[in-house]
Order: sequence, then C-alpha cells, then structure tokens
Amino acid sequence: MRYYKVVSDGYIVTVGTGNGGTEIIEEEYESILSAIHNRPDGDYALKEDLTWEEVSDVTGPDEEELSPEEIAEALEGIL
Amino acid sequence: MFPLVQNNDGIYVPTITNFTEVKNAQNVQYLALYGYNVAGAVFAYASYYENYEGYSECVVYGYATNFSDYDTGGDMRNYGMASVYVTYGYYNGALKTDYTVYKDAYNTSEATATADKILSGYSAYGPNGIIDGTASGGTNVEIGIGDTPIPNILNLFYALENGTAKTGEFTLAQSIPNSSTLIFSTGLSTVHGIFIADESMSTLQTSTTPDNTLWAIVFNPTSNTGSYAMTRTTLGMAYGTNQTGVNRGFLNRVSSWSVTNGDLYVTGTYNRNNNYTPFYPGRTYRWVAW
Repeated sequence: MRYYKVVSDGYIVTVGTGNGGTEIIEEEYESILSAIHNRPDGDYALKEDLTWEEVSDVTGPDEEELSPEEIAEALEGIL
Repeated sequence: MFPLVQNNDGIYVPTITNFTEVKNAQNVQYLALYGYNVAGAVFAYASYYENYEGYSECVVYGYATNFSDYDTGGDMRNYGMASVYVTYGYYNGALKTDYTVYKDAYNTSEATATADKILSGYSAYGPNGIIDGTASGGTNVEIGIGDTPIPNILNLFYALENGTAKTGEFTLAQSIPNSSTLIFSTGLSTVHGIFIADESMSTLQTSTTPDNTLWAIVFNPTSNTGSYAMTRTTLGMAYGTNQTGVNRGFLNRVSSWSVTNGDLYVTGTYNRNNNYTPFYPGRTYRWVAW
C-alpha cells in the first residue's frame, strides 16, 4: 500500500493511502495519523515536526440557509 | 449508509450490515447509493446486491416530487412512488436481464408516471449501456436533464464489478476553507463521478436529521448537467419521509471539475453548514472514482 502526505506552507494538510501527494513510509503515516487523532480543540494546524500551531479560522463563517428565492435563482436554467 | 471496505481488487466498496427492505436479498455485497435529479422532477436511489439465485440485481427506486412541494412537508405518497427491480448479471454462464415494476397504490397515475420515467432512463442506459460503457452520454431522458444519477450509479456498479474503479482514502489534519479544491489522484483520464464516505459509517442511517457525517456522490458536471453533491441530507427522501429541509444538500454543488495527469481537481463548497457535507479534521474519508 502506498502512503502519502500533502504539505502546504509547512503544514501537513492531509495524509492518505493511494496515489497523490508525497510518498511516505508507513511509520511516518502512522505517526502523522496519531498526531491528527490527538489534535487539540480549536483552530490548529499541524506542522511538519508534528507539533500543533494555533491558526485563525480557515473555514470562514457558516453560510446561512438559502431562502426559497435563492434556491429558485440557483435552479434557474436547470429546471 | 454503509462502510466502505476493500474488496478482493483492493477497491473500497459499500457494504451493508443491515438492509431489510431489499426484496429477496441474499449475500448482499454492496449497495445503497442515493441520488436524485437536480431538477427536482424525480429522485431515485439505487441498491445493488446479489439475489438468492446468484444474479446481480440493481434496485432503482423513484419518487416523483418537486422541491417546492416537498419543502413544505407534503405527503410523499402524493407524488407517486414506484420501484423498479432491475436484474442483470451472469448466472451459469448466461446473461440475465429483467426488471419488475412496483407502484405505490396511493396515487397510481403518478406512480405509473414515475415508473415510466425510471424505465425510460433504464432503457436508455440499461445493461447495454453499462456493459459497453456508453452510459455517460448526455442524451436527455425524461427522468432528468442530461445524465441522471441512475445511469451514473449503474456505471459505478459496473466499474466496481469490473475492477476499473479507483479508490483511496485521506485524513485531514486541519479544517479546509468552505470553498476548496480537493485533489483525487485517480489515474483516470476521465472521471464520471466520485463517491466519498466517512469510514466511520457502520450502521444503516435512517434518521432524517441532518448531521455532519459525510456520504456523498459527486458527478462530473461536464457530463451531468447541474452536477451536485448528493449528501446525507438527501437520504431522508430515500426513506419517504417528509421532513422539511432535508433536500438542501443538492445546492452543495461543484464549481469546477478537471483532470490533469490523472489527478481529479474538484472545486466546490465543502463545509458551508451542518445541512451540507463538511469535512472534519481527524476523520478518515474513503473515495471511489469511476
């Protein structure tokens, strides 16, 4: 099985199996996964040395439910 | 909804632990992929299993409805429910194809219309379409605009059966922006759709309350007009419930979809709010592309 990690700006974004990212050995994959599973609450990013750094909220605010008018607008041209 | 586990080809496929509503189900292998037409005229979901005789069967359920009525909590029976049990597969060396239509008696005229729409899609993209891989055409059929979830789901079945589907899994270390581009290294030059599920899914989910557990199918918007991510929130409809608001997930649509050197780039809105399909750090997601 192939293991990989994806790193952006010095932070580990994701790890996975399959194609993609930078190939790593299973031991590193397990180490990163273990760090992820011990992620502190809040907005933290995982550095390559497997320590966590507090960051600002990257997801942005939740969006509001769409109104019926907005749904109709989104569907315009589809219906 | 069911966990994805690796089959003998190493591909993640849905498996089930409990599905009592499948007729004559024996030796169920994998099933339960859901979808509905973005136009809102019909939604359907398909199940795949091996029946007691050893045939591969695909059950396609359909409900004629529309979002505006549904959103107000209308009675699903008014919209004409119908189910089509499609059988296809090889048994003792012979290909068997057949279907049986079941119509809800509450509103037979609407149920008949629903069944006709399902069958029109099936006849256009049915076993021949699956076997020769031409089901991603783009010809309009009554059931939808452009390709519909039904043939695409059948195509997924075909890809799973033939080991041509590609698979992988990933775990996010951190949250991602609401609008993000996900990259799936499928190795495929053309990707018709991708099916993503939280690996923690282990039991059949019947609640219509939107939650945060991902279970989504995203179709290639190029060959599927009005592509969207089907989410847990659509699942409520699959069970014929009428909870207001369960159909919001379809608006979680894909804004771009491209393949470069075997990598699929899908840009869409992934987090939004709890009625959509958030990805969470620390959760492992498995995907199947076809």
